[in-house]
Amino acid sequence: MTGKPVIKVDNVSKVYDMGKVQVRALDGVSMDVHKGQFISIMGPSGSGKTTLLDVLSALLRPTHGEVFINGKPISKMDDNQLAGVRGQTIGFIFQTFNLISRMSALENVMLPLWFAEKEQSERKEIAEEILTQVGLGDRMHHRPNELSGGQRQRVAIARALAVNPDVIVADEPTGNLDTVSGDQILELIRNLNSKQGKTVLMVTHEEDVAKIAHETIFLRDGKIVKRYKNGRGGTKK
Amino acid sequence: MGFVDFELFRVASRNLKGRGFRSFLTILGVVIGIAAIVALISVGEGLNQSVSQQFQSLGTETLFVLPGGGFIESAFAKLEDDDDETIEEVRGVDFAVPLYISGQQIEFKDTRYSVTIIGVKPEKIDKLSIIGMASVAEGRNLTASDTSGVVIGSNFASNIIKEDLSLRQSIEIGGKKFKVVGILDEATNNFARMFNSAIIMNSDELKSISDTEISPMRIVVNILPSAEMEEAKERISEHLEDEHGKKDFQIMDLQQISAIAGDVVGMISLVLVGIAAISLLVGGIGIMNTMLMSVMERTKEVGIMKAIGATTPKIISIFVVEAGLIGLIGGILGLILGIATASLISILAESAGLPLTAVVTPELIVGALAFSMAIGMIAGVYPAFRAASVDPVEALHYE
Repeated sequence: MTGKPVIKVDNVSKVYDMGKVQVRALDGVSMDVHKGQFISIMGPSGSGKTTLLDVLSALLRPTHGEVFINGKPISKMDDNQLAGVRGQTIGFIFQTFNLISRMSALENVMLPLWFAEKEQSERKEIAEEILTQVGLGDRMHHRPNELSGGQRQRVAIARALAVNPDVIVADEPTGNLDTVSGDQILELIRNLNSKQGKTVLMVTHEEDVAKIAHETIFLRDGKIVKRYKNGRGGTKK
Repeated sequence: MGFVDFELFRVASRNLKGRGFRSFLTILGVVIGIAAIVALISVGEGLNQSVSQQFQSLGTETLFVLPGGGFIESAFAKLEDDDDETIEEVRGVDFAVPLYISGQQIEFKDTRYSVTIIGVKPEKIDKLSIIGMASVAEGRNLTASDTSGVVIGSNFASNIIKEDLSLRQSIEIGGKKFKVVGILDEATNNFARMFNSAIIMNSDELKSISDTEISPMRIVVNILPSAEMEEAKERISEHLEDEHGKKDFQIMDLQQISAIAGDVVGMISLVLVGIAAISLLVGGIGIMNTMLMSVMERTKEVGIMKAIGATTPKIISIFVVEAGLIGLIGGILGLILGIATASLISILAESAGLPLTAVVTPELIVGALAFSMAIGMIAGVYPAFRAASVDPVEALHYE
């Protein structure tokens, strides 16, 4: 790993003030994410893995410490600049897909392109191309409730890829899927990393899933307690 | 991206679909408010046009002399039989015609009717037709020797007795038989309309059949084109006051009369403006309420949009445009309702004897729609800011 990290987390803490008690969701975490890496984040419930993912993806400002995205500190950015950074640098994949139910697959994928201020014709062209790429060329005008779970997650992946971001952030991407479609989605994510060179950060609580990454970070009580390379990371399991 | 982001309208209209009845109730206030405004402006415009038409048909050289301080105080003051001659002595006056107006019982084919009778000095009846009043369509006009002839208004037969009444037929007025010698043209200007459903007879005959004392109700005065209106008015007033010994009369020109009509319209307008203002306020609050509910229901959606790159101005514009569209839909319905109301007012006014055609100008249509959309957008500002303040992390993890 040489060169500047895409995302750098420097001694970050996130403290939630719950009245009488303070909850330390993250406690002095530091890590670098370099271009092309595939890192999975594991840990028991409440260990802070989702909070770490939120901080890594510029959704959440840390209480202490600093996050750098492409070398720029996020504490110096206002909310709109942060939205811009998210829109251009990071693609999100969620456990519950988080598609907008009133919109067709195509419209969902076009949405981040609208926020990135692309022309209407370009939005449509890109969205159609990516949906075809994830195998939904014949489902573009279906709404989320007319699609299977696996198909919905493909739409979400297409949406994440629309703005051609450097980093893909996936929060339990197979958590709501059966084994067969889950495996297909993981294969897709792995290809994003190995064939398209996307940097991938993925939260999971399943060891089998975590293993497909190059590296796994293990969190407990808001701290990184283990960081290890997976033997066959990035290749077929 | 161009100046207008059409995607905003596409997204907003999709968001509105399926809200159905709830949205309809929301916009009712806007509908009523815009309808009141549209009705008000189109009727007002129609009134303007009909008043200026009357000026054209009646001419601006006509004055009316009325007893008392005005229409209301005329009960005790009265004009004299020879006031018209007094007025005609004034320099600049072309002619003056007194009108005696009285309600009488008549009998036709064994049925009694209450009718309005206008008494005119027969030697002066021709003068009236010069100013667009009492022109004969059939038969002949009254003459000085007519002691048992009458002329009837164009609509008298159809409106009052609802039977055919033609030339040379007889009617009984105050126990005396009169023969119809002429039928008038239909009068179109406001001040001549009273002739349409009246009987016109020799004023001396009217006095002789009436149980009560009858004096001129108004004197129609025509000024020579060469004379200055205001000066003539002043000279008439002075001369008549000398003659009466007091100022127990009033002189009005058409502008003053239409100003009175304007006052009545003004009061109606004020009521409509009040209704419009309250309705629009209620409508605006309704839109704000429905948008706030919508923001709450769509918290997660807003979170998703923020996560994938929507900036605060983008979120605000999505909700403001959506609220604006609700306003616009209300405006379209309000416009339709307003035009319908204005047409109804026209019909009612027409049947009450006031010629009035509601006028809907393109400016009114565009203005009403733009205004309703603006109200929606203003009402949408606060909910939009609420939406923009949604924390994406909380929204995304909220199930």
